[in-house]
Amino acid sequence: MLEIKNLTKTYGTKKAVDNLSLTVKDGELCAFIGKNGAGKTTTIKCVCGIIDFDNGEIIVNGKNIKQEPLDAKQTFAYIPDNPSMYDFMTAISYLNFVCDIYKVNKKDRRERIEMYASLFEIKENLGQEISSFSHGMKQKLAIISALVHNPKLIILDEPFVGLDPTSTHKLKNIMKDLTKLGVSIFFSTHILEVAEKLCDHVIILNDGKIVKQGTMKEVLGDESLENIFLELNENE
Amino acid sequence: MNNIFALIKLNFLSAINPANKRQSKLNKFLIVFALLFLLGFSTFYAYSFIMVFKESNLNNYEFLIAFSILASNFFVIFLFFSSCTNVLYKSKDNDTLFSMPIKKSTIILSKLISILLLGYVYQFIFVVPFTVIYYIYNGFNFLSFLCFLFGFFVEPIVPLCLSCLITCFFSFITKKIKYKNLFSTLALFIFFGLFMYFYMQINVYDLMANPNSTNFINYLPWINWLYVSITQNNLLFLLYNIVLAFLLSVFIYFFVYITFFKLCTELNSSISSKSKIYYKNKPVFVSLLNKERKKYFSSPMYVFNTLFAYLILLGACIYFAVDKSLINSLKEIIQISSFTLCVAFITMCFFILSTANISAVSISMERQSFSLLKGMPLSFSQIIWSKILFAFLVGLPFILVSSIIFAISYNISFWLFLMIVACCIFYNLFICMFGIVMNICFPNLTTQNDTVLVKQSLSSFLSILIPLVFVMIATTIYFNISLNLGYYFLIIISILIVLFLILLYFIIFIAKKKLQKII
Repeated sequence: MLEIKNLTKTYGTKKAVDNLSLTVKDGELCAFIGKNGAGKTTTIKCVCGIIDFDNGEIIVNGKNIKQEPLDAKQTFAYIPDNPSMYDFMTAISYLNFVCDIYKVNKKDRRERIEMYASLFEIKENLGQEISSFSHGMKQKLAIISALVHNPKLIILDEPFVGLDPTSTHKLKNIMKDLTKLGVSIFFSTHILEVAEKLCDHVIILNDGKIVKQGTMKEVLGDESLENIFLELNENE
Repeated sequence: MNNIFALIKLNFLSAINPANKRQSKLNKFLIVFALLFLLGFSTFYAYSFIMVFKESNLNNYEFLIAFSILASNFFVIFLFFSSCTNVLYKSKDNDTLFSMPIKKSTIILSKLISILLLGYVYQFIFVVPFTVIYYIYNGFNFLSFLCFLFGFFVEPIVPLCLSCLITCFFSFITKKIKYKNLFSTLALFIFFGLFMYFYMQINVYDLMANPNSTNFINYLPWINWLYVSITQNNLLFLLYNIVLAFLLSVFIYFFVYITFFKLCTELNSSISSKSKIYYKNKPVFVSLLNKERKKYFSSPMYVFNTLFAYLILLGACIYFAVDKSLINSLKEIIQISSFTLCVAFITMCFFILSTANISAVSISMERQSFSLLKGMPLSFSQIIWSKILFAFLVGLPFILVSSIIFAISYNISFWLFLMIVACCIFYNLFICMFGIVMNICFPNLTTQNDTVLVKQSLSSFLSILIPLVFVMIATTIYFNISLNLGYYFLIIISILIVLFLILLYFIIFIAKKKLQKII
């Protein structure tokens, strides 16, 4: 579903991402972890076509993000680390806007919006302006907007930040359910316990380079993800 | 005390807010260049009055002082009125500042002084060149210069205090209103509509001929006192001004001190108003246009600074259509032909379109949500053209209606009317494209303050300044080379087509790469 080959991105003289290669298979739940400034958000932004990169290749669902950006973007959804949406819109007008962009028909958008809004308990707030939403509610709306067009790949940057425990639990369940339907999920997180329990695959990043990757079993062995993460950072 | 200076510096730096060191140097250079250009423009403008005086055998150079003080006050009030709410009450850094061990008085003073400093920049551009020209032709007087020097620093304090009071009043009224953005925008328009009405009451020709005539400036004491103190070397009137400014500033300081926290809290806590839930399909481009419309009308500052100019155009057309006495008297004095009147109208339209550039900050106004837009399956041309088209559509009805009113009221032939409309439409398109190109070259997605973006960002500054140069050249060509009107239209449209093609090339081949770098 997602294939990154030798991705390199520099800011001035600093290499934010250094020759990074990874693969996320269909229906796989992949955690992308690393300390602050390791290059997680930069990698995600390169994958989503938000920023340009110096070298490498990014293939989403068989489409090259540089050569066929629109076809590639049509197949995935992206939730940024800071849910900065259009504050001047109401939640429903924002969701309609997203549905228009992804060409979701009226029947499907009604069904999906109502279903996810009920699930995340913001159905009553759909008519309100986003500016009146709390951080958590904005995060819920961002998640709904990502799910509403049935993407094949969901890319999430710190999705659990700001969510209440109930919503975190629901999001984890949705993520599991979606992977059963063949949807791939690639997300960055600092909550190692969630990554350990939830994911099939893990990638640990440090200073723009992958220091360890593989299935959760391969990476963990007999240790916890936290211990491995701390060890890898200390070694650096 | 150190805190005040640090906060003032911070406010000023946030106005420039460069993306990187290299861009910072370019920003500084361009801002200095633009300020010098505006000073040059103002001097040229002041000198043109001298030319008129000489031709009309008038020696009332005092008019220069009256005009410059009045104009600078108008622009300073315009600036303060828009800055007060955003810099004082709605500033994004308020929460951080409140949490720091800084006195409330320091925060308030630093904010008020920051606004005042911006006022001095505006005043410097308007008043200094006019005063210099006045001293050159009227003779230098030390007492008068002393009055000017003190008056320069005292003068913007009264507009600042008035703006503070009015914005406080509006904020109190609008805090519980559902459509407070719409209400604020309407209130701003009504306030400035009234101001413009009074401004139009100034009989410029009468003032030129007799500076002591009963005039609008007599009703604004702080303007009148400064005018009299400079022109009549009267220190007493300067003292009046200083006393008024001091009393008002003390009153305003305590007024803001008492109301600051209450207004900050209430203005920044949104009241949730429910609207109807709907599910409607729209084509992608229509949806993008709709988003642009909502974004535009969500910011009273954005609307006020752009739509206001169009309303002035419309208002001026209606005013001159109803009251033709000024145009007729000018026709008699300097024998203006219908052709010249058409060129004057086009110049006015061009000037208004240049100053009301919506597209110049349309990318910057996206702020962090621009990443969201870039992550969606949208082509760059869809994003850019939706912004250009929206800006174009906002200006179009005003141009059309103004042209029709002008053509009917001054019996302009159908052929001339068509040429005027064509010129204005081409220019509108050029302005919209130029604005977006400037915004692509000088984006600023990090500044949260609408006023800083709309009024002080480099892209908005340049997208007003450069087209104004074009307007000046076009007008100079007509008046100095004595062109036939047909040739004038031909030249203007040809130049606009060439510029259009250059901008089109940029948008198609270069903009995509530049947009990709904007984060």
